[in-house]
Amino acid sequence: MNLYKKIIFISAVLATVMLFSSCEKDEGEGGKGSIHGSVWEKRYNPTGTVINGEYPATYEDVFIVYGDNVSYGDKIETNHEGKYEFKYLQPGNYKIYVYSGDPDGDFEASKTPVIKEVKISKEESVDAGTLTIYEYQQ
Amino acid sequence: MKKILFILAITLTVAVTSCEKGPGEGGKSKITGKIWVENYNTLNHIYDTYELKSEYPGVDRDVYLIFGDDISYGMKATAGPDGRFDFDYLRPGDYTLYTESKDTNRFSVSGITSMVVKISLGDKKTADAGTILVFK
Repeated sequence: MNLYKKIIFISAVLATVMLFSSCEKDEGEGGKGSIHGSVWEKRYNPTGTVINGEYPATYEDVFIVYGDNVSYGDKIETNHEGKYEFKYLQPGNYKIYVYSGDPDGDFEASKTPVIKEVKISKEESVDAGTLTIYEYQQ
Repeated sequence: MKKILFILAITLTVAVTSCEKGPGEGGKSKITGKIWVENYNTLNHIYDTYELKSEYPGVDRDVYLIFGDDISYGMKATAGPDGRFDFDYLRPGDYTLYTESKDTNRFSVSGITSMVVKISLGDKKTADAGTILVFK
């Protein structure tokens, strides 16, 4: 193999590697996948002993973490029916979370995250199901 | 010649259908409206009697807009000092607008409900959602 052919070969290999590595996309926005779900609230009396009612949690902040990130990448409030959707997501792993009162009935505890891990395999709409949160009337 | 016309027709059809856009941002239409707040005193819980304490424009109230059949809102506006709000640069289509209110009927355990308005918007038009009454 003469020098000219070697250069062509190395260039072709490099170009192929660069092409594939630049096309690898991390979790986040820019794709055609989506995650949807709902938030359900259980409301207890101030001492956490009696449940006063349960209903769709409207206007509740829902957070999404992209892949292994530490901070959330986006957040949205549940709609008037307690539902939410994150659109235009790349395939990959995501964490969805909302904040809740302590599910074990410790009404004096600080807010606890209720987390759901979700995987988008390709361009699909994934149902994250229902996240249940607990609130204690003041 | 027929082949060329056939290919042109297919290309044109693909181009036109790919340009069809549903409700959302990127148009020339607009939705406006106003939030009005009525603040009631509860006189008697058992007999559900109330007294209107005060009423005023819904200053600083959040208003949400859902595009078409979407689940989550696509836009959120905050009412100004006169309680008015608007959503600009919308494409024609169906929209759902909602805002939070106290549930004076006490149908919901949370004590919170939503005032929902459905709007069908034309091209280069302004649709008035009217005055949305909310309770405090």
